[in-house]
Amino acid sequence: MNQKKRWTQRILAVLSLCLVFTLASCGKAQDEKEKEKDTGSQSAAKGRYTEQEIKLHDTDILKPADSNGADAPFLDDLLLAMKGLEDGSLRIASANGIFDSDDKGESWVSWAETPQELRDDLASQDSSAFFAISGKGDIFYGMGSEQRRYKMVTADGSVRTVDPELPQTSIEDSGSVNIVRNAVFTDSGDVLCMDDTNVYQLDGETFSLKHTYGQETAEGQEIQGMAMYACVGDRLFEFSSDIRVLDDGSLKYENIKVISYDLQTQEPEGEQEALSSFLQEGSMDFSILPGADGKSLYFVSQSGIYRYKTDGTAIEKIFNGSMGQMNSNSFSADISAALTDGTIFIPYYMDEQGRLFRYMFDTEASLQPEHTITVYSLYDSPNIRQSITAFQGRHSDVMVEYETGMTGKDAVTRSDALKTLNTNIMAGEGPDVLILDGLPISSYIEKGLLMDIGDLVEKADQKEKFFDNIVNAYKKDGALRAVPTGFSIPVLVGEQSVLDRIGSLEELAEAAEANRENRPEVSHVLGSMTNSTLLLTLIPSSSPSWMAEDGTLDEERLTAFFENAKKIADAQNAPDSMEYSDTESQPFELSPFMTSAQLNTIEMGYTDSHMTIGNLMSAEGLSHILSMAKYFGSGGYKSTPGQSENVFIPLSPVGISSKTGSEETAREFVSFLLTEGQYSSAAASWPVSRTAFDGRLTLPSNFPLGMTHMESDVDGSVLDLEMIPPAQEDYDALKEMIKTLKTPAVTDEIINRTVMAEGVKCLSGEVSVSDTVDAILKKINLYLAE
Amino acid sequence: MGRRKHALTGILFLLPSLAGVCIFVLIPFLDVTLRSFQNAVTRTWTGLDNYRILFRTPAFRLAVKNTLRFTGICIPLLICMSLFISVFLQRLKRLGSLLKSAFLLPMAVPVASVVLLWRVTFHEDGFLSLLAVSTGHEAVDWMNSGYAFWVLVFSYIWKNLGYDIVLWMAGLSGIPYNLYEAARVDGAGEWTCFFKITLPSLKPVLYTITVLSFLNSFKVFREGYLAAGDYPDESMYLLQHLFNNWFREMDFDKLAAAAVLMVLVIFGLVSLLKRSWDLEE
Repeated sequence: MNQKKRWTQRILAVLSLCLVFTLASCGKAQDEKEKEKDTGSQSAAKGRYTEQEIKLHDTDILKPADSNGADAPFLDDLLLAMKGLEDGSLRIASANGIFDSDDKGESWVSWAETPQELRDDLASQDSSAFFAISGKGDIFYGMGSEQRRYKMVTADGSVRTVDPELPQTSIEDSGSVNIVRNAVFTDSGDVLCMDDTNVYQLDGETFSLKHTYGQETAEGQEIQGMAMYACVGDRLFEFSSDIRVLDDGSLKYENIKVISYDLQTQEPEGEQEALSSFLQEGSMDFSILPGADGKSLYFVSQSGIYRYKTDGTAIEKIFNGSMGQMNSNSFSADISAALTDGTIFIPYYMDEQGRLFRYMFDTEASLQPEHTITVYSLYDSPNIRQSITAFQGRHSDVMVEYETGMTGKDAVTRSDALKTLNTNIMAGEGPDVLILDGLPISSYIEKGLLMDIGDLVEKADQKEKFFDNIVNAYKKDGALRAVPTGFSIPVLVGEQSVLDRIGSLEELAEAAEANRENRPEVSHVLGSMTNSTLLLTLIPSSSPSWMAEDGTLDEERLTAFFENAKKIADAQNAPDSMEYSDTESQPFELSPFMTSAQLNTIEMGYTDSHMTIGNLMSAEGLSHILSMAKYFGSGGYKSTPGQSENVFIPLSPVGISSKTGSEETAREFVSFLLTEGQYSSAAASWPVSRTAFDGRLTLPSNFPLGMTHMESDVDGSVLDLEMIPPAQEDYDALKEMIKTLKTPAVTDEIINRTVMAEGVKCLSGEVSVSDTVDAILKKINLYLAE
Repeated sequence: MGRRKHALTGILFLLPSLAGVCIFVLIPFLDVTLRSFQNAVTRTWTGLDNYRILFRTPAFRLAVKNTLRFTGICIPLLICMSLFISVFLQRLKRLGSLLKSAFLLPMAVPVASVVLLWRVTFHEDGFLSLLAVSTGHEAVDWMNSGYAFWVLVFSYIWKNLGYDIVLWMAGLSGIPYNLYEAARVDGAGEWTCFFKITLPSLKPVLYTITVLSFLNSFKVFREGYLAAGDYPDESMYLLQHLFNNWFREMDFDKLAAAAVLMVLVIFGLVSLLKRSWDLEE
C-alpha cells in the first residue's frame, strides 16, 4: 500500500514539475520578449533609408492655373513628369511650369529658361500628353490625341517641333503612323519612344529611327502577355511575362523574363536571371524606376523599395514597406524619380489627395532602430501614416510599425479583427498605441487597458493650448485614457430667418415641412442630400440623448428622433441616386466628406434650398458657408439643433496600451500626435490644439476664391457663387462657438451602424417608425446589456 | 509484484494522454478559474466581483434562459425522435440501413451551405415567406422574429438526428433477438416488447446519447452566428453569442466567471446523469 502511494506521489511530482516548467517557460519567453522590446537592438551600426514627406501644396507647383473649378485639382492632374538630373538636382514638370530643386525637394525654383510655348502646353491639361526629361534637363514631349505634335525643348530654353521617324502601323489600321505614348532619354542622348507594343530608339538630334525593340516579343501577345521596358544609362531592360486570369478575376504573371539590350549596339545581352527570378517571386507586383546614376534600377512594391545594380546580380531591399506609405496605398511610380545619389521620390494618392514622399539615405539613422512600437488602427488611416512618417523623420532611432485590423482585401469582419486584437493584447503581443476609431473605447477604458495619459496631455497643453472641452471627451473618474486628436462640428446652415426660427429637432422638422409646403417647386429642401447622408448628419446631434441612465437606449427619445427625421426626409424628397451604403470592411465615419458643410452648402445652392445641415471640419467649409450666407444676403450657421445641445464629434481618439513594453516611446508618439501631428495636412478635421487650429484657419493657396461657376454631379444644375475668405471676426466667432461645445456625439460603431442600417429603411418609407425603433432597441439593448 | 508492474505499465500508457489533457484542458481551465477572480487586463484580485456582475448582467440571464430552454426542448425531442426512427429503421432491415445513411447526410453538409440554405429559406423574401404569401399570409422575416428560436431548434434536430439514430441502432443491434422471440411466445405484443425489452436494454446507450446530444447542442451556435451575426433575435441569443461578444469587447473576466459556472453546471448535470444510471444498474 505504501509502495503504491509512493508511486502515485512520484507520478504527481513528475506532473507537477512538467506544469512548473511549462508555466516557467511561458513566463520566461514573455519576459525576454518584453526585455527585447524595451531595450531594442543594441547594434550601433548606422545608415538606412528613411521616408519624409515633401510639402508641395503650398508651392507654385500645385497652384491651379485658373480658379474656376470648385475643387482643388489633384496632384495627379498637375504633376506631369519628374527626373533626377545629372547635376544631382530634381526637375518637375507640372501644369504650372518647370521647377527645379537643388536640395532634394526642400525648396523649389521655377526654371528661368522655360519658354512660353512650353508653359502653354503644360497648362493645356491634355490627358494624352507625355513629357520626358533628360539628365541634362532637355524636355521632349508630345500632345494631341488626334493630331499628335512633338516638341523638343533644350536646356537653353529653345523649342523646336520634331517629327519622330516611326514605322507605320499595320495595314488594318489604314497605314497610319504610330503614336508615341511615352518616351525616355538614354545617357548618350538618344530618345526611346514607346507606343502600345514596341520601343523605338531614335536619334536625339534628328529623331530618325535607329532600331525597334520588342516586335517579336510583343507580336500576338496583346492578350496573353505583356512587356514593359526600363532604360538605365545606355541599357534597355525588357520585362516580359505571360498573363493568366485566375478564377477570382485576378491576374497572375508567369514566365517572367528580363532581357537587357545594349543601346549602343542594339544587341541583346541575354537574360538577367537574377532579376527574372526576383520578379517571379514577387509576382511582378512592382513598379520599375530607373536610377539617375545610369546603373541602378529600383523596384517599388507594397513590401518596400528594392535596388538592383545593373553591373551586379544582387537585389537589395533598401526600404521596408511596413515603415512607409507604400504598404497600403497606390503610388504613381510612372512619375517617380531617383536622384544620382539614390534619393527616391514617389507620389501617392491617398485620402483624396496626392502627396509626394522622399526616400533618402540617412547616415545618422541607426541601421536597426533602437526602439520599436506598434501603432494599431482598425481601419487604414492616411493621417496616421503621415504622422508616423513625420515622427520617424524626427526619431531615427525609433521604428513605428503600423498595423491595421481591416484591410478590406480579405473577409475579416470587425468582430474578427477585434478578437484578434484582444487575443494579441492578452498574449502580450498587442500594439503599444491604439487609434481607437471603431474600437470599444468605453470597454477598454473600463478594463484598464488604456493607461492614464492625463499628465502627457497636460504637458502638451502648455505648448498647444488644447480645446479643453474636446480633449476631455473621454475623461472618466478623473483619468484621461483616450484623447481625440481631431473633431468636427455638426452645424445647421441657412438664411438668418431660418436659423432664428429653429432651436430643436422638432423645429427643424417643422421648418423642413413648411419649406416643402411653401416651395413645392424646389426639388430638395436641404440640398441634394440622400436619406443616408441626412441620417448621418442628424445622428450626432441627437445620439447622446438616447443613452438612458439604466444603460439602455431611451425608446421615447429614439422614437421622437425618427418621427422628426422621417418628417425631414419626407420634406426633403431625397434623390435615389448616390445612396450611401456602408460595409463592414470600410470605416464607419460619423463625419465623412459627403456630410461636410463644405459639400452640403454647395448642394443647397444647386437646389435653391434655404437651409442644410453638415459637419464643419475645415476652413474651406467655413468659407463655403460664409459664401453661401453672402449669396442669401444674410445667413450663417449654428450648432445643429438636435435632441442634445452643443454637440461635437470626437475623431481619431488615441490611447496607450497599459500592457505596452515600450511606454516611453509610445508616450513620445502620442505626444507627437497631440503636438506636431496636429498640423498634419492629411487630417480632414479640426485639430484639438488651438495653436494648430489657428494655423488651419488659413485657406490653402490653391483654394479657388472669387466668382466660381459650379455644376452639380447629381442633376447637372449650375451655381455661380462668389467664394469669400472668412474674416478675422468669423474665425473668432467660430472659436467662441467651439468653446461652448460640451457634448461628445456617440461614437460607438455598433450603435451607429445599427441605427444607420435600420434608420435608412425608415426614412425611405420601407419600415414604420415603431418597427424601426423596435428593431434598433432589440439589437442595441442586447449589446448594451452585455 | 506482477500487479504492481501491470499498474505501472497502465499508468505509463495513460501518461501521454494525461499530459495532453493537463496541458490543453486542465491547466488552461485552472488559469480561467484564476482569471474569474481577477481583472481581465490588470490581473488584480477582484474576489467574487466578476460573479456578482455576471448575475447582474441582463444579457447573461437572457442567454442562460435561452440556452436552458433550447437544451430543455431539443434534447428530449431529439432523443425521442431518433429512438422511434431507429426502431422503425431496424424493422426495415436492408432499406433501413439505406435510410440511415440518408439521415446522416445533414452531417456531411458544410456549415456554410447550411447557412446559405437558412438565408434562402428564412429570409423575408425567402422560400418560406413566398409559400406564406402564396397561401394568403404575410411574409415574415423569420430570423428576426420569435420564430428564430424554432428555426434554431429545427436546424439542431435536422443536423443531429442521423447521428443519434446511428447510436440508437448500434444499441438496438446489441439486444439479443431471442429475448423478443421468448416474449412473443409468452404473448407479449409490440408495445410490451418495446417497453419491457427494448427500452431497458437501451439504458446504457441513453447515457452516451444524452451527453453527446448535449455537447452537440453547443455546436448549433455556428449556424446561428453565421446566419444572424453577433446580435440575432432575442429568442435565439445563446450563451455562446454572449461569450463571443464578450471576447470582442475584452470582457475576459466575465467570460472566465461564466465559463467556470458553465463547467460546473455541465459537470453537475453529467454527474447526476451518471449517478442515476449507476443506480439503475
